[in-house]
Amino acid sequence: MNHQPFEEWLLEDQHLDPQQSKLLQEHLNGCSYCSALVKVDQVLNNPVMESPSQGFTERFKIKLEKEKKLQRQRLLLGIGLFGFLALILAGYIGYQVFTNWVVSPTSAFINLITWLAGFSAALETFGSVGLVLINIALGIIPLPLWLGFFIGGFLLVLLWVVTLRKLAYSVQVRRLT
Amino acid sequence: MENELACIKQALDGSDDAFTQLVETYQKPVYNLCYRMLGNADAAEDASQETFFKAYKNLHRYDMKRSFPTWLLSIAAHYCIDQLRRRKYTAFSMDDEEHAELPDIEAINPEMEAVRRQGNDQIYQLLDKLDSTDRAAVVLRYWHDCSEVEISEALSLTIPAVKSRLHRARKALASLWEKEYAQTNLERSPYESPAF
Repeated sequence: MNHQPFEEWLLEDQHLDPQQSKLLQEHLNGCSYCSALVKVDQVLNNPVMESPSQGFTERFKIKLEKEKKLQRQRLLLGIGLFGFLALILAGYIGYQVFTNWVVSPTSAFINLITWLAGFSAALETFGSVGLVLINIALGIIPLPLWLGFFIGGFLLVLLWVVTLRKLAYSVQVRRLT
Repeated sequence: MENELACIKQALDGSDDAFTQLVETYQKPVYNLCYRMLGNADAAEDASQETFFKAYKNLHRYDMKRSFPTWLLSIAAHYCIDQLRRRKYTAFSMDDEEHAELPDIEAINPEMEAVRRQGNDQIYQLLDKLDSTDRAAVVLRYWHDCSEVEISEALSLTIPAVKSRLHRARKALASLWEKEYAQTNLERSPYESPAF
Protein backbone atom coordinates (compact mmCIF):
# COMPACT_ATOMS: atom_id res chain seq x y z
CA MET A 1 0.00 0.00 0.00
CA ASN A 2 1.21 3.49 -0.80
CA HIS A 3 1.52 5.51 2.43
CA GLN A 4 2.40 8.81 0.79
CA PRO A 5 1.68 11.64 1.38
CA PHE A 6 -0.02 10.52 4.63
CA GLU A 7 3.10 9.10 6.26
CA GLU A 8 4.95 12.32 5.50
CA TRP A 9 2.11 14.43 6.97
CA LEU A 10 2.19 12.35 10.15
CA LEU A 11 5.97 12.26 10.49
CA GLU A 12 6.28 15.99 9.92
CA ASP A 13 3.33 16.74 12.27
CA GLN A 14 1.92 18.96 9.57
CA HIS A 15 -1.11 21.13 10.12
CA LEU A 16 -3.78 19.82 7.76
CA ASP A 17 -6.71 21.60 6.17
CA PRO A 18 -10.20 19.95 6.40
CA GLN A 19 -9.84 18.33 2.98
CA GLN A 20 -6.47 16.78 3.88
CA SER A 21 -7.86 15.65 7.26
CA LYS A 22 -10.72 13.88 5.50
CA LEU A 23 -8.32 12.16 3.09
CA LEU A 24 -6.09 11.11 5.99
CA GLN A 25 -9.04 9.67 7.93
CA GLU A 26 -10.11 7.66 4.91
CA HIS A 27 -6.57 6.36 4.49
CA LEU A 28 -6.28 5.51 8.21
CA ASN A 29 -9.44 3.39 8.06
CA GLY A 30 -7.75 1.04 5.62
CA CYS A 31 -4.08 1.31 6.57
CA SER A 32 -2.87 -0.45 9.69
CA TYR A 33 0.68 0.95 9.38
CA CYS A 34 -0.40 4.62 9.32
CA SER A 35 -2.92 3.91 12.10
CA ALA A 36 -0.05 2.45 14.12
CA LEU A 37 2.00 5.56 13.39
CA VAL A 38 -0.82 7.72 14.77
CA LYS A 39 -1.21 5.48 17.82
CA VAL A 40 2.53 5.53 18.50
CA ASP A 41 2.50 9.34 18.30
CA GLN A 42 -0.44 9.51 20.69
CA VAL A 43 1.36 7.33 23.21
CA LEU A 44 4.69 9.13 22.80
CA ASN A 45 2.98 12.47 23.33
CA ASN A 46 1.46 11.27 26.61
CA PRO A 47 4.48 9.83 28.37
CA VAL A 48 4.38 8.42 31.88
CA MET A 49 7.35 9.43 34.02
CA GLU A 50 8.89 6.80 36.27
CA SER A 51 10.22 7.81 39.68
CA PRO A 52 12.94 6.22 41.77
CA SER A 53 11.94 4.54 45.02
CA GLN A 54 11.96 6.60 48.22
CA GLY A 55 15.35 7.54 49.67
CA PHE A 56 17.24 8.00 46.39
CA THR A 57 19.15 11.02 47.67
CA GLU A 58 20.05 9.24 50.91
CA ARG A 59 21.38 6.30 48.92
CA PHE A 60 23.41 8.72 46.81
CA LYS A 61 24.91 10.26 49.96
CA ILE A 62 25.95 6.79 51.15
CA LYS A 63 27.45 5.99 47.73
CA LEU A 64 29.32 9.29 47.74
CA GLU A 65 30.77 8.59 51.18
CA LYS A 66 31.81 5.08 50.13
CA GLU A 67 33.48 6.35 46.95
CA LYS A 68 35.30 9.08 48.85
CA LYS A 69 36.53 6.57 51.40
CA LEU A 70 37.69 4.30 48.59
CA GLN A 71 39.51 7.19 46.93
CA ARG A 72 41.24 8.08 50.21
CA GLN A 73 42.29 4.45 50.63
CA ARG A 74 43.64 4.34 47.07
CA LEU A 75 45.54 7.58 47.65
CA LEU A 76 47.06 6.27 50.88
CA LEU A 77 48.00 2.99 49.18
CA GLY A 78 49.60 4.92 46.31
CA ILE A 79 51.57 7.14 48.67
CA GLY A 80 52.62 4.13 50.74
CA LEU A 81 53.78 2.18 47.69
CA PHE A 82 55.61 5.19 46.28
CA GLY A 83 57.26 5.84 49.65
CA PHE A 84 58.33 2.23 49.91
CA LEU A 85 59.87 2.24 46.43
CA ALA A 86 61.54 5.59 47.12
CA LEU A 87 63.00 4.15 50.32
CA ILE A 88 64.41 1.11 48.48
CA LEU A 89 65.89 3.37 45.79
CA ALA A 90 67.35 5.72 48.39
CA GLY A 91 68.85 2.73 50.21
CA TYR A 92 70.42 1.41 47.01
CA ILE A 93 71.85 4.80 46.01
CA GLY A 94 73.06 5.41 49.55
CA TYR A 95 74.81 2.05 49.54
CA GLN A 96 76.48 2.78 46.18
CA VAL A 97 77.60 6.23 47.30
CA PHE A 98 78.90 4.86 50.55
CA THR A 99 80.85 2.00 48.98
CA ASN A 100 82.25 4.03 46.05
CA TRP A 101 82.71 7.57 47.28
CA VAL A 102 83.30 7.14 50.95
CA VAL A 103 85.45 4.03 50.76
CA SER A 104 87.39 4.99 47.56
CA PRO A 105 86.53 8.39 45.99
CA THR A 106 89.36 8.16 43.42
CA SER A 107 88.18 4.86 41.92
CA ALA A 108 84.56 6.18 41.80
CA PHE A 109 85.74 9.28 39.92
CA ILE A 110 87.75 7.16 37.47
CA ASN A 111 84.71 4.90 36.89
CA LEU A 112 82.55 7.92 36.11
CA ILE A 113 85.07 9.37 33.64
CA THR A 114 85.45 5.97 31.93
CA TRP A 115 81.68 5.60 31.58
CA LEU A 116 81.33 9.12 30.12
CA ALA A 117 84.16 8.51 27.65
CA GLY A 118 82.62 5.19 26.54
CA PHE A 119 79.22 6.82 26.08
CA SER A 120 80.66 9.64 23.97
CA ALA A 121 82.64 7.14 21.80
CA ALA A 122 79.50 5.06 21.25
CA LEU A 123 77.57 8.13 20.10
CA GLU A 124 80.32 9.06 17.67
CA THR A 125 80.45 5.52 16.24
CA PHE A 126 76.66 5.41 15.74
CA GLY A 127 76.83 8.79 13.97
CA SER A 128 79.59 7.61 11.59
CA VAL A 129 77.79 4.33 10.80
CA GLY A 130 74.56 6.24 10.15
CA LEU A 131 76.26 8.65 7.75
CA VAL A 132 77.86 5.78 5.82
CA LEU A 133 74.49 4.00 5.54
CA ILE A 134 72.75 7.19 4.33
CA ASN A 135 75.44 7.73 1.70
CA ILE A 136 75.03 4.16 0.45
CA ALA A 137 71.23 4.46 0.41
CA LEU A 138 71.38 7.80 -1.48
CA GLY A 139 73.44 6.13 -4.16
CA ILE A 140 71.21 3.07 -4.54
CA ILE A 141 67.69 4.53 -4.23
CA PRO A 142 66.66 7.11 -6.90
CA LEU A 143 65.47 10.59 -5.91
CA PRO A 144 61.77 10.17 -6.90
CA LEU A 145 61.55 7.15 -4.61
CA TRP A 146 63.01 9.21 -1.77
CA LEU A 147 60.48 11.94 -2.43
CA GLY A 148 57.66 9.40 -2.49
CA PHE A 149 58.93 7.88 0.73
CA PHE A 150 59.05 11.23 2.54
CA ILE A 151 55.68 12.44 1.21
CA GLY A 152 54.08 9.09 2.08
CA GLY A 153 55.62 9.20 5.54
CA PHE A 154 54.40 12.77 6.04
CA LEU A 155 50.87 11.84 4.95
CA LEU A 156 50.84 8.83 7.27
CA VAL A 157 51.96 10.98 10.19
CA LEU A 158 49.29 13.54 9.28
CA LEU A 159 46.64 10.81 9.16
CA TRP A 160 47.81 9.50 12.50
CA VAL A 161 47.63 12.96 14.10
CA VAL A 162 44.17 13.68 12.65
CA THR A 163 42.80 10.27 13.72
CA LEU A 164 44.25 10.66 17.18
CA ARG A 165 42.80 14.15 17.56
CA LYS A 166 39.40 13.02 16.30
CA LEU A 167 39.30 10.00 18.60
CA ALA A 168 40.58 11.99 21.55
CA TYR A 169 37.97 14.68 20.84
CA SER A 170 35.08 12.22 20.73
CA VAL A 171 36.27 10.56 23.96
CA GLN A 172 36.62 14.00 25.53
CA VAL A 173 33.11 14.98 24.40
CA ARG A 174 31.70 11.77 25.85
CA ARG A 175 33.56 12.35 29.10
CA LEU A 176 32.52 15.97 29.35
CA THR A 177 28.86 15.37 28.62
CA MET B 1 17.40 28.65 37.81
CA GLU B 2 19.34 31.07 40.03
CA ASN B 3 19.01 28.63 42.89
CA GLU B 4 20.37 25.91 40.60
CA LEU B 5 23.40 28.01 39.67
CA ALA B 6 23.98 28.87 43.31
CA CYS B 7 23.86 25.17 44.18
CA ILE B 8 26.33 24.35 41.40
CA LYS B 9 28.72 27.08 42.57
CA GLN B 10 28.48 25.90 46.17
CA ALA B 11 29.03 22.32 45.06
CA LEU B 12 32.09 23.44 43.11
CA ASP B 13 33.36 25.05 46.30
CA GLY B 14 33.10 21.65 47.97
CA SER B 15 29.62 21.65 49.47
CA ASP B 16 28.21 18.12 49.27
CA ASP B 17 24.89 19.36 50.63
CA ALA B 18 24.49 21.70 47.67
CA PHE B 19 25.15 18.84 45.26
CA THR B 20 22.69 16.65 47.17
CA GLN B 21 20.10 19.35 46.59
CA LEU B 22 20.74 19.02 42.84
CA VAL B 23 20.32 15.24 43.16
CA GLU B 24 17.01 15.79 44.94
CA THR B 25 15.82 18.12 42.17
CA TYR B 26 16.85 16.02 39.16
CA GLN B 27 16.54 12.46 40.43
CA LYS B 28 13.22 11.89 38.65
CA PRO B 29 14.21 12.90 35.08
CA VAL B 30 17.55 11.10 35.34
CA TYR B 31 15.95 7.97 36.75
CA ASN B 32 13.19 8.05 34.15
CA LEU B 33 15.70 8.28 31.30
CA CYS B 34 17.72 5.39 32.73
CA TYR B 35 14.57 3.36 33.26
CA ARG B 36 13.40 3.91 29.68
CA MET B 37 16.86 3.07 28.38
CA LEU B 38 17.73 0.04 30.50
CA GLY B 39 14.35 -1.41 31.20
CA ASN B 40 14.29 -2.34 34.84
CA ALA B 41 14.19 -0.61 38.17
CA ASP B 42 17.44 -1.99 39.60
CA ALA B 43 19.52 -1.17 36.53
CA ALA B 44 17.91 2.27 36.36
CA GLU B 45 18.69 2.93 40.02
CA ASP B 46 22.35 1.93 39.55
CA ALA B 47 22.67 3.94 36.34
CA SER B 48 21.12 7.07 37.84
CA GLN B 49 23.31 6.82 40.96
CA GLU B 50 26.33 6.43 38.68
CA THR B 51 25.19 9.38 36.58
CA PHE B 52 25.05 11.66 39.61
CA PHE B 53 28.41 10.41 40.81
CA LYS B 54 29.97 11.10 37.40
CA ALA B 55 28.38 14.56 37.46
CA TYR B 56 29.82 15.13 40.95
CA LYS B 57 33.31 14.15 39.83
CA ASN B 58 33.15 16.20 36.62
CA LEU B 59 31.24 19.21 37.87
CA HIS B 60 34.28 21.42 37.23
CA ARG B 61 33.90 20.59 33.54
CA TYR B 62 30.28 21.73 33.39
CA ASP B 63 29.80 24.77 31.16
CA MET B 64 27.52 27.17 33.06
CA LYS B 65 26.14 28.51 29.77
CA ARG B 66 24.55 25.15 29.04
CA SER B 67 21.42 23.77 30.63
CA PHE B 68 22.30 21.73 33.70
CA PRO B 69 19.49 19.15 33.30
CA THR B 70 20.50 18.59 29.66
CA TRP B 71 24.09 18.06 30.80
CA LEU B 72 22.93 15.54 33.39
CA LEU B 73 20.67 13.75 30.92
CA SER B 74 23.50 13.53 28.42
CA ILE B 75 25.71 11.85 31.04
CA ALA B 76 22.88 9.43 31.80
CA ALA B 77 22.19 8.75 28.10
CA HIS B 78 25.86 8.04 27.33
CA TYR B 79 26.18 5.83 30.38
CA CYS B 80 23.08 3.83 29.41
CA ILE B 81 24.20 3.52 25.78
CA ASP B 82 27.55 2.20 26.99
CA GLN B 83 25.81 -0.26 29.29
CA LEU B 84 23.57 -1.48 26.48
CA ARG B 85 26.52 -1.89 24.15
CA ARG B 86 28.52 -3.80 26.73
CA ARG B 87 25.92 -6.40 27.32
CA LYS B 88 23.04 -7.59 25.26
CA TYR B 89 20.37 -6.58 27.65
CA THR B 90 17.80 -9.23 28.42
CA ALA B 91 14.25 -8.35 27.54
CA PHE B 92 12.37 -6.41 30.17
CA SER B 93 9.75 -8.43 31.97
CA MET B 94 6.42 -6.71 32.24
CA ASP B 95 5.74 -8.81 35.32
CA ASP B 96 8.02 -6.47 37.25
CA GLU B 97 6.16 -6.05 40.52
CA GLU B 98 7.24 -2.48 41.06
CA HIS B 99 5.70 -1.35 37.81
CA ALA B 100 2.50 -3.27 37.71
CA GLU B 101 -0.30 -1.50 35.90
CA LEU B 102 -1.75 0.35 38.83
CA PRO B 103 -3.80 3.45 38.08
CA ASP B 104 -2.32 6.69 39.41
CA ILE B 105 -4.42 7.71 42.41
CA GLU B 106 -3.68 11.37 41.70
CA ALA B 107 -4.97 11.15 38.17
CA ILE B 108 -8.20 13.00 37.38
CA ASN B 109 -9.59 10.00 35.52
CA PRO B 110 -8.12 6.72 36.79
CA GLU B 111 -9.43 4.78 33.81
CA MET B 112 -7.78 7.16 31.34
CA GLU B 113 -4.59 7.02 33.38
CA ALA B 114 -4.61 3.21 33.24
CA VAL B 115 -5.04 3.34 29.44
CA ARG B 116 -2.22 5.87 29.22
CA ARG B 117 0.05 3.68 31.32
CA GLN B 118 -0.83 0.63 29.26
CA GLY B 119 0.09 2.51 26.08
CA ASN B 120 3.38 3.53 27.68
CA ASP B 121 4.14 -0.03 28.71
CA GLN B 122 3.40 -1.25 25.19
CA ILE B 123 5.58 1.40 23.59
CA TYR B 124 8.25 0.68 26.15
CA GLN B 125 8.45 -2.96 25.05
CA LEU B 126 8.89 -1.76 21.49
CA LEU B 127 11.53 0.82 22.46
CA ASP B 128 13.62 -2.05 23.72
CA LYS B 129 13.94 -3.26 20.13
CA LEU B 130 15.41 -0.01 18.82
CA ASP B 131 19.08 0.84 18.48
CA SER B 132 20.35 2.34 21.78
CA THR B 133 21.08 5.81 20.34
CA ASP B 134 17.68 5.95 18.58
CA ARG B 135 16.05 4.97 21.86
CA ALA B 136 17.93 7.69 23.73
CA ALA B 137 16.81 10.26 21.15
CA VAL B 138 13.16 9.18 21.45
CA VAL B 139 13.23 9.20 25.26
CA LEU B 140 14.89 12.62 25.38
CA ARG B 141 12.41 14.01 22.84
CA TYR B 142 9.15 12.64 24.20
CA TRP B 143 9.75 11.95 27.89
CA HIS B 144 11.97 14.94 28.57
CA ASP B 145 10.70 17.39 25.99
CA CYS B 146 14.24 18.11 24.76
CA SER B 147 14.61 20.10 21.57
CA GLU B 148 16.53 18.71 18.60
CA VAL B 149 19.43 21.02 19.49
CA GLU B 150 19.50 19.71 23.07
CA ILE B 151 19.36 16.10 21.87
CA SER B 152 22.20 16.76 19.44
CA GLU B 153 24.28 18.21 22.28
CA ALA B 154 23.38 15.41 24.65
CA LEU B 155 24.14 12.60 22.23
CA SER B 156 27.02 14.28 20.34
CA LEU B 157 25.10 14.12 17.06
CA THR B 158 24.37 16.67 14.36
CA ILE B 159 20.85 18.16 14.20
CA PRO B 160 20.05 16.46 10.84
CA ALA B 161 21.21 13.16 12.38
CA VAL B 162 18.84 13.68 15.30
CA LYS B 163 15.93 14.44 12.94
CA SER B 164 16.74 11.40 10.86
CA ARG B 165 17.03 9.15 13.92
CA LEU B 166 13.71 10.38 15.32
CA HIS B 167 11.96 9.78 11.98
CA ARG B 168 13.52 6.36 11.64
CA ALA B 169 12.60 5.46 15.21
CA ARG B 170 8.96 6.53 14.80
CA LYS B 171 8.65 4.54 11.60
CA ALA B 172 10.23 1.51 13.24
CA LEU B 173 7.95 1.84 16.26
CA ALA B 174 4.90 2.10 13.99
CA SER B 175 5.92 -1.04 12.11
CA LEU B 176 6.50 -2.90 15.37
CA TRP B 177 3.22 -1.62 16.80
CA GLU B 178 1.39 -2.75 13.68
CA LYS B 179 2.96 -6.17 14.03
CA GLU B 180 2.47 -6.57 17.78
CA TYR B 181 -0.68 -4.69 18.75
CA ALA B 182 -2.65 -3.79 15.63
CA GLN B 183 -5.08 -6.66 16.20
CA THR B 184 -5.73 -5.81 19.85
CA ASN B 185 -6.27 -2.12 19.11
CA LEU B 186 -8.42 -2.63 16.07
CA GLU B 187 -11.62 -1.47 17.73
CA ARG B 188 -9.98 1.71 19.00
CA SER B 189 -9.41 3.64 15.78
CA PRO B 190 -6.92 6.48 16.11
CA TYR B 191 -8.93 9.54 15.14
CA GLU B 192 -6.87 12.02 17.10
CA SER B 193 -3.89 12.38 14.87
CA PRO B 194 -1.39 15.05 15.91
CA ALA B 195 -1.47 16.05 12.29
CA PHE B 196 -5.10 17.20 12.62
